[in-house]
Amino acid sequence: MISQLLEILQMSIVLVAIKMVVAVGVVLGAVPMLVWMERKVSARFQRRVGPNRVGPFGLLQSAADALKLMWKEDFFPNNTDRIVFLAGPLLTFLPGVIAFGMIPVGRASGAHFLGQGGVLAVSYLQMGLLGLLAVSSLASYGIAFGGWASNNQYSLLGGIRSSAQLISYEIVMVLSVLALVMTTGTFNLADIAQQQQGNVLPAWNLFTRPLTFLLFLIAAFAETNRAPFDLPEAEQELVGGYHTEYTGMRYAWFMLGEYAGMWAMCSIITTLFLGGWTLPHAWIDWIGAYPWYFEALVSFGVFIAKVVAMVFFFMWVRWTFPRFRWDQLMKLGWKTLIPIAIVNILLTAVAMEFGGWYVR
Amino acid sequence: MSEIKQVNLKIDGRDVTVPADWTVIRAAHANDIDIPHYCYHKDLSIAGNCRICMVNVKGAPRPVVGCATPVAEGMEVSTMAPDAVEARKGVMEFLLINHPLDCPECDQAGECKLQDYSVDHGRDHGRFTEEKVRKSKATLGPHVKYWGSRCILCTRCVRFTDEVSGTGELGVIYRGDRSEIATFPGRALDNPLSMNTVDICPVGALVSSDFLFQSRVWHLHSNPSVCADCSVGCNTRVDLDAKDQIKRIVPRRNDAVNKEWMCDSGRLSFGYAYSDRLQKPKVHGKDATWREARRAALELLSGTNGSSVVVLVSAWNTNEAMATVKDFVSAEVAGARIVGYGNPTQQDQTFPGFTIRGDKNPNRDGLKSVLGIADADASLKALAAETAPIGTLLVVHNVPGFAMTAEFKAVLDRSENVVLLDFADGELLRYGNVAVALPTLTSFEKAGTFVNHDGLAQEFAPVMEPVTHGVPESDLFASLKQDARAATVSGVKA
Amino acid sequence: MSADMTPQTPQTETATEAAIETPAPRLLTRTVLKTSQKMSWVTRIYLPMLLKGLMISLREFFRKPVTFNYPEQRPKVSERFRGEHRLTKDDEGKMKCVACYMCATACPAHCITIEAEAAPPEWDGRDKIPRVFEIDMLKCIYCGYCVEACPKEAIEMTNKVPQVYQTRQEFIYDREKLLAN
Repeated sequence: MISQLLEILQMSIVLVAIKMVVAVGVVLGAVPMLVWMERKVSARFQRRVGPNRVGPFGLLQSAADALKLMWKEDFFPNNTDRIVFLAGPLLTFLPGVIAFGMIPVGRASGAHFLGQGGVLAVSYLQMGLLGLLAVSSLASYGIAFGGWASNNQYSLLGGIRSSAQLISYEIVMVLSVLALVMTTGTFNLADIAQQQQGNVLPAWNLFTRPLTFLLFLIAAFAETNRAPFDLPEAEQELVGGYHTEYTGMRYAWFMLGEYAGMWAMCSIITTLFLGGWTLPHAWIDWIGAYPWYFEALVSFGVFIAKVVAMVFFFMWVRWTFPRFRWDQLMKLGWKTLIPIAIVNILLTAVAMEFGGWYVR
Repeated sequence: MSEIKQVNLKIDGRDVTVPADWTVIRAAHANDIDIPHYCYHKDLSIAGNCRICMVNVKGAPRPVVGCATPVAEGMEVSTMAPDAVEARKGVMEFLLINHPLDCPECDQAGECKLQDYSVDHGRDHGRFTEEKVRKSKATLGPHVKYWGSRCILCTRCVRFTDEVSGTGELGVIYRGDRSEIATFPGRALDNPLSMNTVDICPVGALVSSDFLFQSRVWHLHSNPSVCADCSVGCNTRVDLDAKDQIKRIVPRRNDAVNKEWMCDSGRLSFGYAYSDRLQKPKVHGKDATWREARRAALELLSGTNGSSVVVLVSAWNTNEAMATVKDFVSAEVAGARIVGYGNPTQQDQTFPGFTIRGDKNPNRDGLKSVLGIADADASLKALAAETAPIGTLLVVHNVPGFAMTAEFKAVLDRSENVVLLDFADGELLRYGNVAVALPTLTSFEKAGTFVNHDGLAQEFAPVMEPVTHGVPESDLFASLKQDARAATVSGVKA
Repeated sequence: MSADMTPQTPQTETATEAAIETPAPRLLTRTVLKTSQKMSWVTRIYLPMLLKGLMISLREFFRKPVTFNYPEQRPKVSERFRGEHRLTKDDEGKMKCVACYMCATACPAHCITIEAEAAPPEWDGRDKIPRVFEIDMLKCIYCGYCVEACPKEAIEMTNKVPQVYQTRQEFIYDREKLLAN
């Protein structure tokens, strides 16, 4: 019976289907929790209580909000291109889900039928990192579309800001990834994660390549339009920015997209710099004595824990720092971060030349 | 008649020229210079007992009362001279000695001369520490109540009943600070002009029992109108509250029509605007849409031979309504006979200063000038005398409190179908053969022109929003005409 | 430029007199902030300051929230707090209000509805009482103008914190409720 089930599982189409459902489910389940978490965390940073009326600890607040948003008026601005208007929220949300599908979220060493080397990922790509870079910047199209199709100056400004911000900080991000890949020698996300396992202490890239991490982190904030780089929606200047004209569920999709993007970005950072699902050998080797699914669950749990910690950091930053001014943002991107990123590549090259240990 | 000599004098530095038989206060008021006054009233005799109109006349040893001092050539009057102002202050304080200062409870508050002049000339506190005299409260008549303590004994009301109504019910009883206004024993202030005493009372001593405690006057907004109660056509000011409900009707000065007077019946004549209104069009007693009702009316009017259609127009309709009736009839039911009618004429009630006309229709003259019906009652009588059946009777009614005469009933009984235009859901509508009833508006809700008994055409505007789905006759006939044209074009016309 | 802006000593007076009467004003245009000079390189890369900021917000994160859960938990108010209204009564237990509408007139929120009627004949010295006296507590902004406007001291504010109800109707306080409040 069980072996039959396993055989069915090993049929790749069924397996991929299950993996996809799980991945989408994780993102869709995570997003309402993230919204709840953001509200709770922001409340605590401001010494408030936060939502506490709907469900235990206000956990069902997001469900209540979604219910409310569903009943809101379905609004289209005058003279708008409806297809582009509808595409905006979807294009914002989908890249987050797709990106999450490429990230290895755990490993069950024994279960090779799940993927090469037992890596848990919907789509286990050798060039996964490149794929991520390609997908993660798509979300900005959604914002630009929404801003343009809203037929409203504020929204258009939001959309333009999003595009300009993306162009500027994509360079920083790619340059920092370049410095990382120079030492890892691979684009394979699972390999990169595995390299950081360490024996007694975690050998995370965060510790060994702090400058690269910092550059990537700043670029990640800008890519996800999170504070202090949330200029596209900048409510004090642009009303609501790109989502000014959006109501009801379409507005909700934009919100979901923001959090899905953050979730995906935190997953990427976790994989690249926090060792992904791994814990040092000395901490985790006992697990070999247990079945594969136990290892899968533990590794997945470790991954999620790291991602949530990263999400917390994102929120922490958001509720600590004020927003950049537009010229400051551009100045920081082009005149500070890009030169530093180039220097970082040089430094990495020098370190590789003189210290063989630096190469993974 | 010899021309009255004109004299030139100076009031507050302004050169004014007035007839020689005027007094200073009248000369000032005619030239928009205000002199405070309680007892002086333009249409009443001069009493000179309130003493608030003190003015300084150059050469006079002390201030004189403006209301009783005749003008003279070269006179120089100063209304704001220090001694005059000081004298007025003294008078104000004196008048307020026994005043209860119960403004919160007083209906006059907000339009009270005592309040106005207290602001101008009063003190901010009283020096009178003794006990105030408390006077009686009385119900003088069906519409008027008297608060003795508030009274300043200007005797305007007494002079009004003596000179204008001529009924003389009121007088001053007792002496000194105990003086009161009262009716003579066995009499009540029940003449048809009694509520004018409330208007002319400068303080809150005489109040209307119909308006009593209804609203504070500063919560009212006012619109000018013309009274439709009789053929005098008194100019009125309609006061409405925040919910657009009529609260009272008071006269508006028009020396050519009603001076500043108005009859009690006219003041209280707004009840029909709110009760028993025809809310929606009705076809055979059932509520219908305007479109259905207009179609049904057109069928009845045009389906029959024009000669068997009779149009009855009451003398309560505006000139505009009559003109559109005429226009519609000549265009769509050519040959139909137009007959006028109205409320039956009663005896004129004549008083020394005012006449309430017995013709209880606001626009009998309009029937004559617009529709050419010289004698409305005679035309109805003639119609009633005939025996030939009437196909369709179009009644443009709009008469509140209409008492159906035998003649009117005879005409109705002879008619096969009746199309009724009225604002009321009244006796006429329920009388039987009313096939189509179309709601119209009261004169409070529509604009128009009434021609009074004197031949004076007076235009009025609506004072409030319509309370029903009714429309003015002019709009209604315009729509009917349009419908008729449309039916002709599409060939539906039978 | 600077010569134009500094006040000249009047030629007709001696220098000492001028110094006493007109001290040279400090021109605001000269106080220019020159901050960039003093910043060390540690400050200029800005990261330590960011870290400091993060630590400040993290400290707040672990402190107790200052919120109180309003309808369940009530704030303790001082005795001088002015909350819900009440209608007062005189020594004989009759309400003092004479329905003068002054409060309704003064009310900037238009939350007071009054309808007057004649007072019972046995009430001496009173002509008018309110038949309807309603305050819509949802509209009320608790400004206290009604209390100031009242000529009879018939309305005053208690120190009851505004209540919370489930329906709008419950927020409309009628005459009896205000008299008992």
